[in-house]
Amino acid sequence: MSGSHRLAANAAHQFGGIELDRGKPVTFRLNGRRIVGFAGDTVLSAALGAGIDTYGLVSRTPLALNHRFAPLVTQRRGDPLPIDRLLISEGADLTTIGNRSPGLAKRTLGHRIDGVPDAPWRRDPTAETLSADLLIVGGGVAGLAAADAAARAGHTVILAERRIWLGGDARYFGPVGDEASPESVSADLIAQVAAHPNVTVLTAAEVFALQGSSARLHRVVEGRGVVVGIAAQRILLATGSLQRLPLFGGNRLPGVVSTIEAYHLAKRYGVTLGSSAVVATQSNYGYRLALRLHDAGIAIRRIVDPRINPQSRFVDFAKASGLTLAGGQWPISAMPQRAGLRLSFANVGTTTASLSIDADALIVSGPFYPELALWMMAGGGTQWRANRLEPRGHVEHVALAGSTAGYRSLAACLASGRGAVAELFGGAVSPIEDAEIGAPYETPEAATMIGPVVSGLPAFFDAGASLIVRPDPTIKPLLVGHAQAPSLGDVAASVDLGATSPADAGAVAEERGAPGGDLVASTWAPLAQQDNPDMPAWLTGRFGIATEEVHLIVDGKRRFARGALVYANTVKPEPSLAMGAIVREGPAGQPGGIALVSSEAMRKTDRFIVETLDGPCPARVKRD
Amino acid sequence: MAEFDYGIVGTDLFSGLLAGLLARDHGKTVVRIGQRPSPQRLWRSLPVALPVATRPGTWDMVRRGERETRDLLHAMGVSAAIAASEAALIGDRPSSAEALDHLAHIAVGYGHQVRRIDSGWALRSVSILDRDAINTGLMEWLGGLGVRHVDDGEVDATLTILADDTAIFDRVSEAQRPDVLVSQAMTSTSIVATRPLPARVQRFIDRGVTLFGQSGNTVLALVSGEQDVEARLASTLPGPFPMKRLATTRYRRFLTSDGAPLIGRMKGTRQFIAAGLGDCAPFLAPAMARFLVGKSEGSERSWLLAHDFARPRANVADFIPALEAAQ
Repeated sequence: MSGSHRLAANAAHQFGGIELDRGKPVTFRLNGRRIVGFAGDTVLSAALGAGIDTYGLVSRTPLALNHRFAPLVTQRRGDPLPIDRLLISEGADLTTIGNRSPGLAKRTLGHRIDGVPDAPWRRDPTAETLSADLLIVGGGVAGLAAADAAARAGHTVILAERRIWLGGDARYFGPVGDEASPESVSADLIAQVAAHPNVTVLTAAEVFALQGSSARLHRVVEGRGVVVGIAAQRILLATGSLQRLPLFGGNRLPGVVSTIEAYHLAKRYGVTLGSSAVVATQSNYGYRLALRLHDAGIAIRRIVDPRINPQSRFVDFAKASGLTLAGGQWPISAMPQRAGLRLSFANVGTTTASLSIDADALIVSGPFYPELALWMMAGGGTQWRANRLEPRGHVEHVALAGSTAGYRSLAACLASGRGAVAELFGGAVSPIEDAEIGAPYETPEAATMIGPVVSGLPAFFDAGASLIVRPDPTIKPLLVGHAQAPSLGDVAASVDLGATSPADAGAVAEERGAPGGDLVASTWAPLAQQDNPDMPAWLTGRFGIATEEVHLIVDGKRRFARGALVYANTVKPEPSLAMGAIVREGPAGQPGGIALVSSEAMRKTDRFIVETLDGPCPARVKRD
Repeated sequence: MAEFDYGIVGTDLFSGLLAGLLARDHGKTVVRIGQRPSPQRLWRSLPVALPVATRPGTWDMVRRGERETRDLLHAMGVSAAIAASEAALIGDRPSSAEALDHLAHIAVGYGHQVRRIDSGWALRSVSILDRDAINTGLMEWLGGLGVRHVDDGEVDATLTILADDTAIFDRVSEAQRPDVLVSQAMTSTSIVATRPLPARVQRFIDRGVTLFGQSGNTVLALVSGEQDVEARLASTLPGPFPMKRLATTRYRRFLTSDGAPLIGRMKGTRQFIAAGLGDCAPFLAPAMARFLVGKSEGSERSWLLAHDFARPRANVADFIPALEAAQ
């Protein structure tokens, strides 16, 4: 290893960073701090590679910096840009946006987190508009397969990928059985798509608005942000899936990282969060990552798994490599130390620590769930099925593919990408087989584990910006007044904790997941109304069958307000006993007011009490 | 003989309180039918004792219902679930201003303090229910009273009360619905507010918007209609803009074409409808329970009978904003 946060350039499994040119160091400043990265680094990967793993403090809790929770940066008051989509450049002087504490602590960006601002480009005007037959959102294997299929069918395609690379998460999972490796499949597809002249690929391009057949995306190009409008006849969402955050105290401390993030940091950028780690996984893929990190030089202190005696080829490989496994256990807390973390684990079903280990990092695995934010924005629904939120319903001219549509295997994701194109353009759709290796060979993943409430160590529902914390009477609410829409992961955690019923989860997710765009100032006003001399219907029968209009006065000056109730002298002023009401001001500006009065009352008297807001006022009928 | 005296179809507060009152005060066997409401869902109505009504009888019913509801919540152990706040009614059109002037004077007659504001009136100390707080204790209360609960399906009851709009949508076909009952598109949305509202409840009569200030610097907005929803909503908000939304749901509700509640048994059926009660519905549960068991008296009975959809409605027709009349 070269330094504690970068793996060796020639680390096993290409964990030296396939995006980097290690021969080209790049120096820039972030909040005044000098950082040296490599050509190909993003600002985020370079910061993490330099040991900056902390966004800042929320209340008194430090929060990890990662691709799902990172500040924006600006250079010389230029456009705010996302640090996971901005490549570093020599001599850049960047400043993160938000409240920061003075000083330069070694590991932190120093933010005081009292809310996470929305991406400001959501309100920027569209700089240019592109059009195509098909917009594909997501450049994973499903999106690439769809782009290839659509292009071969003669359609024009725009493929937008949020990350700066294509291929998605398939590489993390590896091949299943005899199928081709995701590496080779991705590489082939990327080459095929690049060869199609009718496909436009936009990387570092995040689609943030979707309505009907149009979309808006924000793209980072050569250090500048630009908002691009897309007009497409059809839209395919292949936005992939997100990984749940296991629920335990300290689950968002610096040093705690998801397996998918740890994989991409190492594979793409050669970055690790230290030289030692514990991997806590509820699926077999965590063992695969642990093995690769071990091979790349990370000291894997333990692989912890809530399943007892799980069966998997990866488990066998881990044992053969001498890694220490702990079945039937799960993290219950992560505590920050002067260096690294103290990690406590309990036997599944208990809440008392049975094992404590110190390590630089805790790499945690949770179940994956479809990323459906754009689907819901397009009008699609969700439902709770098989312990996760899955898409529901149909949206005209919009289709889903890959893990967004719920598929798991590489072959099914590829087939669904091609099938979705056929579906969108009216072609024949073949059935898709989503084959997974059976339980005798590969033990299924466990459900999300929930640790006990640990005083002083908040457990967050999810890894994003919503910062929803598991309720704990011993912890002061962390974000009073902070309002951020919850993610699907938040909703799923809420279901796991019993706070949301599975039957409601889909509707809750839809309400929260597609809240609509920002409201902008409006001068809307109702159309002007024509004068209507007719008596309003709501006065019909109010004062009896027969009524008449009379001019009530009290003296030469006083005017009665419209709506004031008119009573006989002899009754208590209860509205149901009123004989009439003032319906308009006196004629030609005269004092008093015109009252609608019961004819029956008029037969008895011409003197009344008008109940004004200042109190009762005697009045008489003015006779001309 | 039917297994239950009453089947109450509905999940909102009105249906829950009605079911409990029929069991507790009148000794009836009751089953409530409907999915349990989730506190995480957006509110689709605002349980506030503020009728947009110009008929004194309606105000009388609601004001008496407020007192009874307060006692009821105390008995349920959720006294804190009723609070009083200022509520503003704002109208742009001359016809609305006229109706609001009358409304304000009637409200004063029933003990409210009011003040004139720009284009409308503000009423002090209007009762607002905390739906989520009440629901927290409601199921236990109903269970203690022997009220059965089923999520869905048919039950054997002497009379089935369709006690919220969803129940009517689900169980009464369009052809069977009384002509006076009309459905209306609604949007409920939660907005991040950086400035407080001038009043906790603001009802913009001619913009079809009701705003409700909630904890956590958020505002719940209920917007009627399908046209210009965002423009109408934004025109009522204090800014600064842009204002972020946290959650949105769209649904349909019932109102009546004459602005008056609609109550009564559907001819030839064992179904009873209570519709168009508006946001005041929970406060009318005690009176409705008495009416169903034949114990209503005096002006209360007259008011309920007058709103039966078999009766002529000219004398109960109430103010209906032009925007809603156009739906």
